[in-house]
Amino acid sequence: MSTSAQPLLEVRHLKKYFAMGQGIKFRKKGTLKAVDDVGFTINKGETLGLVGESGCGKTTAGRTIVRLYEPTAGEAIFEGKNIYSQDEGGMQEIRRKIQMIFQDPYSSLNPRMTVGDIIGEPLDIHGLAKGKERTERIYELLNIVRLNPEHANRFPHEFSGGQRQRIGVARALAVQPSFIIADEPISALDVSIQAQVVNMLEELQEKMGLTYLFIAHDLSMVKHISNRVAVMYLGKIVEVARSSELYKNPLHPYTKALLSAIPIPDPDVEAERKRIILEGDVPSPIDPPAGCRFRSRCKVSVERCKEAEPEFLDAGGGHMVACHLVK
Amino acid sequence: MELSPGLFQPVARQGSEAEAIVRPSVTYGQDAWRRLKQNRAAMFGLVLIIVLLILAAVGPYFVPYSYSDQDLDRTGEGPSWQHLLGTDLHGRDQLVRILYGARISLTVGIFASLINLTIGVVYGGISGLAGGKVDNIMMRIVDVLYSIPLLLYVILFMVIFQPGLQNVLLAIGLVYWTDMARIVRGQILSLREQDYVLAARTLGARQWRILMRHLVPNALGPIIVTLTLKIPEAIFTEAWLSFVGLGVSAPMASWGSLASDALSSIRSYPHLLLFPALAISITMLAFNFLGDGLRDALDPRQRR
Repeated sequence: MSTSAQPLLEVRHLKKYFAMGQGIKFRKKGTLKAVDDVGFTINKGETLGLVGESGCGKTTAGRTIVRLYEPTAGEAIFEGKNIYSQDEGGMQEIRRKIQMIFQDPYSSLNPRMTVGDIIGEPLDIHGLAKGKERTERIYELLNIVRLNPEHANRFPHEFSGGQRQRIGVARALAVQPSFIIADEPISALDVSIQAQVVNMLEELQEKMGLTYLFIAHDLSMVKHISNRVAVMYLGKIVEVARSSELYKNPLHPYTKALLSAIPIPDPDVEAERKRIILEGDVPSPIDPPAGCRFRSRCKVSVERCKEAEPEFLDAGGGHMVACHLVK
Repeated sequence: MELSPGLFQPVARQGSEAEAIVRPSVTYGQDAWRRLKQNRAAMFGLVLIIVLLILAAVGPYFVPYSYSDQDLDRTGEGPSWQHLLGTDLHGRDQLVRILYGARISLTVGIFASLINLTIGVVYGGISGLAGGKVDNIMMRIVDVLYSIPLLLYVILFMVIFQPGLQNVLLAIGLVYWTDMARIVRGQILSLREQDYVLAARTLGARQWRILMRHLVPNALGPIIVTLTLKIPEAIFTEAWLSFVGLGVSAPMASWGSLASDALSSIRSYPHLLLFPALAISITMLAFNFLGDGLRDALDPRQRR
């Protein structure tokens, strides 16, 4: 996997706030800052892993990039064009190049459509193929994800979880995209099936020169597939580094805690392993702690963490981290 | 027994063999039909409805009288071999009049419900899909309509326009869609957050496509059930309108007007009221049985 330093997608200061308690009901009002000033770059042909706890905003970030949600502020430059300033026609162009794979293979396929129609829908929407050509393209896509052409007339409920996820992949590939956002594509699958799907994604990347944003919470799987990893906490990115670097030398206390939670498949080592156990829950994103957001659960926080938000700085060699304690 | 490593060799498998689906393809419709067949009351209702439809369509041709033929020697007679359900005060055959009434009742029931269906699905679909303010305003309009008994609108409509089959049909069709709109809107609201809808959006599908290809087909179960339960409601409303003289006009006979005519002579000729009333009751019962059965059969949670 060659990573030429040519950026395919550049996200800058992306913010997505949800207004709470709107309308006529008198509820507690506030703003849920799901994604708060997030920025990252993804180079052509590489895989960026995005990890973090549930509710930290990784899914929202992914969905905001494809404009399933309109961003509150910020920009996303894809192939030199800002996604958020596109009109309907320009957006349609971009939608052909950015596709998504969803987490739950049971709800991401319309139960009333045959697999052939599900995979054929992108072709219909973008007017890419009709009639016989369309059928052939569907068979070809099924073949790419290692399903049989006879499966085209079946309904989604007849397939297993792994097979359904591969149908989802085939649907995403139908428009020949260059960038795929995989939103926890394996977390709903059986462990034995996870590797099957991940390996297929890697193979496809090599064959078709795809670029991935791989959203997940399983660190070992992310390490396996990603070139670089971004760690997110409560709507902000706290650390970005090449994946080998991040796993060897985590700088942010949150990353350290996350990494210490990965079990090691060796009982002797596992028994010796010391875990950093985070206390308490993730604070509410409606009213996040002032200063550093992680300070309420951080074992090494100091006075300065309360006062100022740490800047996101290069700690050497492109290893970016947002922590006051890192020099 | 001796265990050797040789016993634990994995079975060689071809890649495509592992992907094969052995179970025969069962579509949603087949599955629902199988469940419906197990419901006796629903099947009873379905058979009754089919019999009624056949009787309404071809029944009158097997009775040797027309609905306006008079047999003045036999006025107000009870059931006999010449007149299976007796005759009315003008000596007209009761059976053939009820069969003609069935045509009118079933026509009104089915077509008025289809108008309900169209308006309800489009209105509820737009409301649910648009969400937010649009949804709020559209649903408040429905609430306002609903706050007055719907029958009043129908009466108002019938008073302004001439009574007649076509106007009865329109009046019921244009008024009774509110339930359908509410049900469709509720379904759409919950379905539109599904991942396959998001997937369609990322593919760049237009709103209309999302509504018609993804949302409505998945809301079909509740829609069919509501439709089936709307039919008896429309039949009853038509009967009621004819009963008070706002429905179809003479010499056409609907079950409601037959019952209405019979009311004046209920003490001397009770059978004249009995048979139209029975026809109305049996039809309503049949559609309600079928509707309840469909509700159970189409419920995806019952799927096994």
